[in-house]
Amino acid sequence: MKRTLGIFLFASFLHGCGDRPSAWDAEASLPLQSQGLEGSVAVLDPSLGRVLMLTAPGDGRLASKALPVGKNPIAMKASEDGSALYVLSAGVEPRLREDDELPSLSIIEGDVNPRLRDRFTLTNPVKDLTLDPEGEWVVLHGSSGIVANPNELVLVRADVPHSAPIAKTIRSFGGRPQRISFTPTLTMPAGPSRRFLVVETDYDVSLVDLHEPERDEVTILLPKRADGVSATPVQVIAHDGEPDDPNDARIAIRLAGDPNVVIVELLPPASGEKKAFKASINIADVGGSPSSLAFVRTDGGLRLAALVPSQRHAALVELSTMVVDTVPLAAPYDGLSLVTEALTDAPDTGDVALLWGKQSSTIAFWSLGKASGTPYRSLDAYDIGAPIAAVHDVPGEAHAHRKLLEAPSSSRFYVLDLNARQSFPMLANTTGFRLHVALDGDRAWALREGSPELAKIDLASLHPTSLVLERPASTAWDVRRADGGRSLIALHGTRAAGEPASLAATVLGAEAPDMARSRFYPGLLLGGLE
Amino acid sequence: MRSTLLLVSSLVLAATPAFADVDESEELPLPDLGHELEHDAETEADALPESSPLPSPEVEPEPEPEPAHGEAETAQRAEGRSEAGSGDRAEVEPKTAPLWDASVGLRMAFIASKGFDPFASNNALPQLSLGFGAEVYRREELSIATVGHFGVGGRSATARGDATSLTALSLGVGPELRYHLGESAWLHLRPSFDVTQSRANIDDASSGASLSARTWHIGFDAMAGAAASLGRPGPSTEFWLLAEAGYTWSSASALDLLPDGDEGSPPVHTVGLSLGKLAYRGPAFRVAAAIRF
Repeated sequence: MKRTLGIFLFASFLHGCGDRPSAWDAEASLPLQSQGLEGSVAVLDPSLGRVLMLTAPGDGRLASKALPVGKNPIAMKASEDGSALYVLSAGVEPRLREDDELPSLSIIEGDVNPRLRDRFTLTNPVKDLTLDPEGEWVVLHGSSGIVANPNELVLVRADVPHSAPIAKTIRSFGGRPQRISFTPTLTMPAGPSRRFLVVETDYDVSLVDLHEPERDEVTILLPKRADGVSATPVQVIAHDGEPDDPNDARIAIRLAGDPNVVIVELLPPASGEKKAFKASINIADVGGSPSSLAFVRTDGGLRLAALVPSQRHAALVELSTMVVDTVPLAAPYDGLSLVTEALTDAPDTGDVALLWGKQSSTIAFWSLGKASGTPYRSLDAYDIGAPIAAVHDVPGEAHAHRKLLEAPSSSRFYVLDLNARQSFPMLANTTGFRLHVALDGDRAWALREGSPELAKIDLASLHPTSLVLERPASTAWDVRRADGGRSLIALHGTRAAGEPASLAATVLGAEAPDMARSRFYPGLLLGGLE
Repeated sequence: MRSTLLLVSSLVLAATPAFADVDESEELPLPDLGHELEHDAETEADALPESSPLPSPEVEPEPEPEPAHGEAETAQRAEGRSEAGSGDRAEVEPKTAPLWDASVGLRMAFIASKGFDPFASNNALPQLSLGFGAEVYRREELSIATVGHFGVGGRSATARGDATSLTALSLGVGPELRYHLGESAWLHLRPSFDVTQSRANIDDASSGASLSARTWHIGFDAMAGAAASLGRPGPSTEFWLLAEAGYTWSSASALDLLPDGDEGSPPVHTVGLSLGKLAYRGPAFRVAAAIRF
């Protein structure tokens, strides 16, 4: 009897001394990273190695689901269409036991039922990731550790489950990668069409063939400046040329503080060479340091357009002869966006470009179908009253002809109708509003971070709806609901003096927002621990 | 709470007559016949008839109707007093069996429910425990008592930095089977029906308000233990020490915490914070000091 009682008491003691999961003691760190997706909002919770996926099952309702993404998540990015979320984790450092996690990349489906799609284990931690706009590749770069190779890239085929990551060290002449981008599909003189990974370093540009990623990359050495140092690339664009010509794909490189533009032709390789192309480099002087490049169709054929705000002109480079035509501009525009596809009645010949800039309160429509013959008639300028720092596209087809022009230094922004060439100012009560366009293209939201003030702009009627949340919001996302409607999820990530970090959300209908029917969900960081 | 106590008390009182019995085996000392003849007139009025007549060897005593247990006890006590009052020295003080006991002690339960985790860093739930029992049946070494107990306790902790607290009030009643090891100790076994009320609270930084939930749990305890006498400070009171261990089980209730209304100013449309389900299930033990009277 005594023995039985003793065993019972000892077992009870052990049972009672059992600790609760350590997650209850993990305090969150601010600021909390969040990302809006097509059907959910992702909130990164680094101290617990998870992502909280917030969804809207119904009007005003919020559901939370925690997905593990590996220890010490450090970076999170969403695809452009909001269909997937990519989370990079550093794993456990230093790794002392077999069960200490290695670095990894997790891919999460971003629809109304978020789930972990795939997870790739890495051998070394990396700090950053670049997403392929077409969703095929993810490039991991910025390796870290006791010894790090900054020129090592890890290419992950994101659309192939459980594919093996490819580690690749690109050729280096002393520089390290600064920017990574992807070309569109380019027709090759030899071999199938393919896309390239463009790696801009301090001194050169490397092209990694995504059709054969293990193959050696092509390194384009840039011209040296007057001081003998190679120029630094700041923008790389590509164009496939004419559809029926496999030999006219080109890549253009803008250099920092240099009037020269590098144009790389992808010509047929020499006979006997087992290569897809041979790179031929040309240089064109556009008359001043350009602020933006774009391949454009004009009435005279394909050209490379370069904006030179310092000279108040735009340069059109003929790609075969490198002859440069200049078009005077009324204002020092430094931004150029091709809007041809967004126009309801697009011209048959020539693109239409929107010019805008931080140094001018005017915008201009550049009709490139008239650029050759009567270039001075190709520009149509409008004074909208404030310099423009950014242009937001409107996704979808219903309102693609509208652009949102953001002027951060002003308390106003503009809705630009490309078809009617009208700009509608939206007046805010103060400065500092950030714009966010819903993925369905029907609404835009203006939020002043750290304040409870929020406004919705209906892109069909341009009717604004002002809202005041009950708590200051750090960000807001417009997501699709499970019942087909749309909800706005505003996040309140706060840390007052002496208080722990916390996260709450306000949910309201996005199509007809009404604070009287909103719901406030507290304590979101405690979700998934029970 | 008050109505529950009244219910328990009435159950105890109602149950008492059903289990009454008279211990006919106990013999009382022989009266002093000479003394009785002298004071016959005085004592006759006081003496109760039928108080422990000597058994006739030839005639079996008629079975008497069973009086209430309390009445038998009273008769015994009265007889003892009458014996004393008659001046006759009943040299052996009558030994009265205490029927009531009250205890106070510590009850510790070990709750493995996940709903307990936000409020405590480990599984232990201590409670101040008050007990009250009434022996309703006794036959030789076995007795049955009706025992009620009341417990109050709780824990507090933090949940990712937010202060939390949980208070548990429990009330239980059940029969206790006792095996007496003489008059100074017993072993017991007790199942009991329990009702527990919890109040959970969290100071939620995200809403700037206190969120709370009140839940009810129905369950049972199964306890076994022992008690030992520590001595008699008086003729009718006795100090005891109790120790018991067992298992407690209760139903699970959802913890949906809502703004308290009294503290902080939460947003108007605050939705409850769900912290899962709480159930009081796990081993438990109790140690208490009791007084029997």
